[in-house]
Amino acid sequence: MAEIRQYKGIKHYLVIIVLISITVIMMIPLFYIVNTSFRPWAEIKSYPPKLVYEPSIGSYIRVFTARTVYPSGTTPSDEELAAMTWYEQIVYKDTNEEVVRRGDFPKRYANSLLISITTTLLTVILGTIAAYGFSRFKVRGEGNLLFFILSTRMLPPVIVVIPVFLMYRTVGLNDSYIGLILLYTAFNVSFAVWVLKGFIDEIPREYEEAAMVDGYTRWETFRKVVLPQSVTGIAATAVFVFIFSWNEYAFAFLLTRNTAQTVPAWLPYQMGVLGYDWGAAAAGSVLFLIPAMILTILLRKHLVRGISFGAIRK
Amino acid sequence: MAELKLNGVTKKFNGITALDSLELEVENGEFFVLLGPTGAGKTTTLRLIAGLEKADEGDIILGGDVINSLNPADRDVAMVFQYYTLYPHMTVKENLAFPLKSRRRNFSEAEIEEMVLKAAKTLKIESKLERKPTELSGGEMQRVGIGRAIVRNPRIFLMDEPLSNLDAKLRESMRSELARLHIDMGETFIYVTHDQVEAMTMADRIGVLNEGRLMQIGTPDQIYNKPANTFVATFVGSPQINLIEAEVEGNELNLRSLQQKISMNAAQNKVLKEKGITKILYGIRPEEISVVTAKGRNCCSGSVKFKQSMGAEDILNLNIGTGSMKAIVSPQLGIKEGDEVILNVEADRSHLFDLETGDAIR
Repeated sequence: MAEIRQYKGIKHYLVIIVLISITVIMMIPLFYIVNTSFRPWAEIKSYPPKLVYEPSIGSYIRVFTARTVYPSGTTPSDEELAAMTWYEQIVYKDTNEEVVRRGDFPKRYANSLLISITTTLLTVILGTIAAYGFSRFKVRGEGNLLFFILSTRMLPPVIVVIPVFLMYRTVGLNDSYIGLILLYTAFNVSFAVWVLKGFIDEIPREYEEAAMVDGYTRWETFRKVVLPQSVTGIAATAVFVFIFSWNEYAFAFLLTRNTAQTVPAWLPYQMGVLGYDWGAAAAGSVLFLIPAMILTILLRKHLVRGISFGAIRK
Repeated sequence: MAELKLNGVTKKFNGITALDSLELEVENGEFFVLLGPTGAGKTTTLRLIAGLEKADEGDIILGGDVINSLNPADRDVAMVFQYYTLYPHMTVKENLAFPLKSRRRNFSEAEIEEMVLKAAKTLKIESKLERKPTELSGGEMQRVGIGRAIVRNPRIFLMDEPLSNLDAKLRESMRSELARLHIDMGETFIYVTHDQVEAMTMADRIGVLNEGRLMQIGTPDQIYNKPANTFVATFVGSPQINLIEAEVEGNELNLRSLQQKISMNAAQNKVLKEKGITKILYGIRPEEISVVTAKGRNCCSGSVKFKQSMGAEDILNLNIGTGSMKAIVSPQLGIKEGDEVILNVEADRSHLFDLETGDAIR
């Protein structure tokens, strides 16, 4: 804020205009997806699109349900209509469909949460311990090992998608939680080690030495002195790892069918009898955005520090 | 019984010898200062005692037990570090309680509370207990650092230049506070410093280290008045001792560069004759030189090249013959730059060193 206030007159307003424009441009896709998710069925594909419409939560109901279309000419009787729940009525009015069961979305969502949270925990635990080791001990061939770890990030993961698929099929890890968790952890640990090593390098060793002289073992020292001081790095790493696992599409698409399918792999299959359901896809996307948003907002202080780590020295 | 004993302790870092078969004994309740320039091995010695480094050779014996292979946590020593090392995520109180909460010590919450308060009171930081280290001044931080050491009852206190990051005035007051603390507690302190004033003012005994070797151990008086070699003689004392090459001629020393001959005392004469030494380094501290009016037997005359006024005393840089010397005189004498002066040195106050080895000739 202090820097911004220093701008005077026209320069000040120019900065504000530029910032607003950037924000607007960045927000357009988000606005578009939220907007689509609330459009009634009839409005989604209308051309030219209407700017003003009556918002509907039909798309959100559709993403949570599986439906069939009433055969042409048949309509539910008044009694049947009266017996319908509120959401069944909305579906019927929107698309002339009957809700047959709950949809797969909640399960896919739970899969995404389970896989992402487990991956994040595993990665952060392994990454912190490995980073501490590299930072504090003489590791034989440290340079080579660190380069080897980094080299796993040099190719886009998609390159190895086929070999991984074949390996997973052989060992029976296809469409399993453990399969995706292992894979995501393996991809992210390298990143975590590098980021966290930077953070731990910045914590003076004297703290640990003081604690050891004060009567603590190295492990206790790690827990009571190093960990609390690496919270920022751990939080930043956790957000990045979570978002990676949460968003990952290529592997999830190829390696999961049903049991362990995550939201990104499931979301594109919103094809119904009535054509592709853009509304449901948009509604699913909006709901899918929420955890990543919450996490990022909660940890934003650490994130800014985390992204610029190493830039500020004591 | 010696509280701490180092037996031929050697430590190398990447083939470079940091400590060369160090022999050291520190008595129970002693304030022992390790003095030496940067890189002398003082901090290494302390870290070896604390267990933060492992000795390559030799034994470290604490209270009769060989502690070479013990972890730092099991040695029951306390250490105060140069850079305070207060845990930034803990308050002052938590910092002080930290050593007491170790699982090795079984203190109840109430005992911890009491011990923390006692240490805080001793160091006058009771009012800062709830603060975080970042909210403290340098002096307060180091008080907490010292507090973390005295809060428990260790076998020995190790202090690694604890005052070197403080400003001059604070350093002085902390010096006397530490000395008082030592007297009150009666515990064994090993204190590392490169500051001769700290060493001279606080120590019961001083060990002077240079390049990993122990140059001399002695009381401040012995270190100052009976330096074992030219290193100790030049390292302690400010301005530095005057060292002048001299040749033995009969009962006199010929200080060639000063174009002066001065007489020796009987003891000096005897030892030089016995050992058959003809070339020596003649040492005289600037404060042992006095300005006299009449030329006596042990005199040199010279001119004042320039004068540094220190307030309580003046340091004269003198040209004598083709050489030079420094002398400390009282400002009341009113000596100005360019003045011709006559100087007297007492043979009893002079030091003779071997020209080759630098060792004192006694």
